[in-house]
Amino acid sequence: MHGQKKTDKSEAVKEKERKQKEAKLKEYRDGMAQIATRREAKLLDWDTMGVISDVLRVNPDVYTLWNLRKEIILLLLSDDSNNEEPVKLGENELRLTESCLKINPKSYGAWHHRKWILENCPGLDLKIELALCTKYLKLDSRNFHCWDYRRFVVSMLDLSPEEELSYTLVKIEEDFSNYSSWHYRSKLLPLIHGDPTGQKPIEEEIHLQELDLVQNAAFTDPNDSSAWYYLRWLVGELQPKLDVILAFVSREDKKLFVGFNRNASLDRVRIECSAASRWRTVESFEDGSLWFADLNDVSMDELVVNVSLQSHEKSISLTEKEGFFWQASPQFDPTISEKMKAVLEEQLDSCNQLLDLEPDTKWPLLTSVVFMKAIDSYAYRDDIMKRLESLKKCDRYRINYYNDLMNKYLIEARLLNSPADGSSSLANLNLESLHHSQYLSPAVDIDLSHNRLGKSLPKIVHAVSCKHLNLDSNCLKSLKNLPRLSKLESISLADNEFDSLDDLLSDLDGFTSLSRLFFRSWCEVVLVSHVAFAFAM
Amino acid sequence: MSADALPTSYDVIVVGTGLVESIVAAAASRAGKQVLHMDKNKYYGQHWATFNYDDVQQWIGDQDTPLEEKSLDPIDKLEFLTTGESKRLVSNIRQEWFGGVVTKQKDVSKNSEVSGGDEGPVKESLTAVELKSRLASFSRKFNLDLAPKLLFFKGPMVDTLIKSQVSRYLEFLGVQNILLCVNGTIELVPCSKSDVFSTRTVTIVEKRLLMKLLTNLQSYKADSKEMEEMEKISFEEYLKQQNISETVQHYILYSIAMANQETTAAKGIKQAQAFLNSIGFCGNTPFIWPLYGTSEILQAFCRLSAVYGGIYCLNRSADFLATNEKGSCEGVHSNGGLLKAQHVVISTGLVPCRFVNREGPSESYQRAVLVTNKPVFPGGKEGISLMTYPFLDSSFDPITLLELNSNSSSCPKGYFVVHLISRKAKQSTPYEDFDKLIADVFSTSDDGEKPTIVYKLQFTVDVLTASQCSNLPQNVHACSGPRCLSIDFHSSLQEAEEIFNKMFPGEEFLPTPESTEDVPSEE
Repeated sequence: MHGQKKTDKSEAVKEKERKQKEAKLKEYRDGMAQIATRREAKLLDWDTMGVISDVLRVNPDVYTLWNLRKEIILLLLSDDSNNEEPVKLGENELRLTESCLKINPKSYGAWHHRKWILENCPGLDLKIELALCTKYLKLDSRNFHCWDYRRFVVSMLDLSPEEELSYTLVKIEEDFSNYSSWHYRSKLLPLIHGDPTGQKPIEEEIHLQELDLVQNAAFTDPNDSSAWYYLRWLVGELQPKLDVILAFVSREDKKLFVGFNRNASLDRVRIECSAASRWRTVESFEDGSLWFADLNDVSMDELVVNVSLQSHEKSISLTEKEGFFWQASPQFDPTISEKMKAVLEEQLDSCNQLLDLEPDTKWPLLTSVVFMKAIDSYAYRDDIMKRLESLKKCDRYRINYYNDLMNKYLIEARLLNSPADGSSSLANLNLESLHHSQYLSPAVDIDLSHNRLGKSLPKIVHAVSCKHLNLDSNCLKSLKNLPRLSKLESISLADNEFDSLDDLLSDLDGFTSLSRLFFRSWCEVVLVSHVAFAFAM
Repeated sequence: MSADALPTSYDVIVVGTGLVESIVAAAASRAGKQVLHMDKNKYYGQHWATFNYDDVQQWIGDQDTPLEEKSLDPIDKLEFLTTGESKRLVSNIRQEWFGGVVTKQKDVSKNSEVSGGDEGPVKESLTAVELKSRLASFSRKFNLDLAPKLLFFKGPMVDTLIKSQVSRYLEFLGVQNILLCVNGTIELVPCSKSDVFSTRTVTIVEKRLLMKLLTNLQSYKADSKEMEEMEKISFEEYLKQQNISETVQHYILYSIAMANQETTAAKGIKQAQAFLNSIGFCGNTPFIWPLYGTSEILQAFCRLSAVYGGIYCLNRSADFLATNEKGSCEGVHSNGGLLKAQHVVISTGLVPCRFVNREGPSESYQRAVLVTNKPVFPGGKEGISLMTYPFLDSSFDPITLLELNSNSSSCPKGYFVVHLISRKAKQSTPYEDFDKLIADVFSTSDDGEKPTIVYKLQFTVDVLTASQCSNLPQNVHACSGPRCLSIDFHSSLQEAEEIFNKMFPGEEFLPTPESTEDVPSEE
């Protein structure tokens, strides 16, 4: 009840409450003990059910009791001598969960039991259940348990999705800060208005209506994230499809490498090459962006690799003439249709309008970055960076996330322009994280200097062809996390923060080919059989 | 005469059952004081009264009967209380009936249990004469307020009702629509977040600006430097600086702040804050309406007073104030006997003439009570609507329109009661401004969407405020009648609390009854 002052309770009242609490606890413990005894004695009958109900009414969150209850119900229903009517039994259970939900409207156990009852006691009136959902959602429109349950009831009732869709709109109009309602919309719309072209989640006209709806929400309260998430769903997945990006043979290692634009696992892609066997990732994980296999024979002129991906297949031919090397031109942004581009441009425009009114609002900033990347990441490169900088200021809790996005974007820009001479440079980007490192796999010379990659050294595992690695000026304190690159011959580590050369040298144990180390800009260390000889230069 | 067994001595005698008087009576009884509360009328509320249709006719009739000359000898040290209060303060009463199409009631007899509308409404066309008798036959289904007012959901009146538990005697209904009529077009004013989201009358960019401004308005702190600056400009100017369209400016100026062209920005912001702070608790408007009419509120306070021992005498007049040599009041003369009291609380309208200064600034308001056949805004939600009708050229002050339907127990099903309230100031002839509104909003034929008026009552009330009563004895406290310019009860509540504090300094004003812990707190 509103308007009532919370008063300091007197000692007497506190004492009374303490006693009540104690009595309640005792009742609970006694009940639990009784149930345990009865269970052990295999007394799975109505009396036990009664005790269980009593305890659950006090504390609806004892999963064990709900499970025991289910066990007994199945027993009662299967026992022909009992003559239990499933409907009556079910109704009884529904009443129990109802009183439990009054105590805790978000009790997982109670909601789950309710669902289970509908599944196991045929003949219950589902219309009543639907009305109950509507009533509950009136009391708390954001109770996701109830939304889940509603979807379940609707699926059992085989209701038309149109009705439910208009219900979600009613709820959104009442208060659009409601993830469940938006989410339900995203489930219903494709059922009613699926896009025949498959480019968007839903057909054109409805798509525009939904964009308008979400725009209204965004402009009413741009700080409410629920609408922005729905917008992201509407514009679809804005990243390129999983694809194979490179393949090459390392003849001296007798290995065939295949790289993907992002992590792939063998249940989603299939790599086939008759000469190769034992496919695995360089990190030895199930999931990875760089896969390799052993080649039995490296004397052939041509090698054909067939890769089947979810949406398409690719056949790659590696020939002696081309050095057994193939690489697709890098692409980090999705290919979008002209129509979609127009939609995104319009959405970007509204974000910009919002930002004109309030420059430091998180969601329009972040969403506009996503849209600009999809439309033309090169043309928008300055805006993207500026907005990410603004995000770092207005949403400080996620500063590292924005840093990471910036790193990724910088790396992408650099990789798009990298020379095809077998060298790769990601120098001078002030990177903290190393995205797309699989693109480094064919490179012999890799320059990662002038970054802050201390935490990202493990990613260098992808540099499988690397002979010369430059890690100058990276604030490195240790090389413990640097993967043991088997081909690495020289490494440059000037201007870092190592404690001593000795520690460093012990970290470099295991680099079988390593012979030259540039430690300070004036000092070259030559390693001969793990003995270091330093020469001043 | 002296046969009535009333005690002859009280802590407080309250003369008149207006809202301020009733709150004071309740507060005094609640504080353990012996209270006598009397009213010369047979009904509660004076100018706050809520009448059925017959009562309205009776009330109008009373205004027409000549003043009864009291042939009482003026005794030394006695001050005549004024009579004919209404006659002096209410003027220009006019009523009219019109023919029109109305919903046919299934059973007109009074004892029927008309639950209504089972077979859908049947319409019938009636002449003015027929309608007149139709209204009379439904008399008791009408609750027509002389001074209709609303409560802000988070306003001080609601706080007081809850704290004192007077709320237990009352029922409320949320106001459904906040409307604005500009240039003859009625629009729903988006005032909550969900309204702003759903409305189609403003562009999305305006939505942002509106939401921003609404948030901004709530951030001003009373007594801050910023607010001081706001005293210097008008609210209208302030809104013009806000980079929002004229439509949105009107929404805020007239509907949300319920201000006019002359309101200062400081006052406008304060009023907008009161409105916005009450949004989101009871539907999408900040207001609730007392079921059965405004008079219910004061009767509920009287009931609390009676529960705590207050004695109630309606239909009993107080004739004189008895004063002593020291100039303080001994009590009142009624029915030929002296009823002694420490304090006398009295309606301004009853205060002896010589204490009343009617020369200075006073406020008067015009009222109209219309019975109509359709809602003014069919596109809104079913229920109570509050509409503002401003005159953009400032030719008149804005008119406040409150439309009640049968849900609010103000009229039978199928009818609507529309209250109009405006300040009497710029009109050259009475109700000139109302005529303009009526021409815009209502229709004389039943062809279109617009409602037609079947009954129209108009009257003008002069408000006598407590500040217009001077040199009263120290222990006589005058209570203002209803103030037209505020839609809520705040000023009356404040006045009552001030009087109470003056009479009984240090005593708590309407505290929560002690036994509340035992009151079951269901719901």
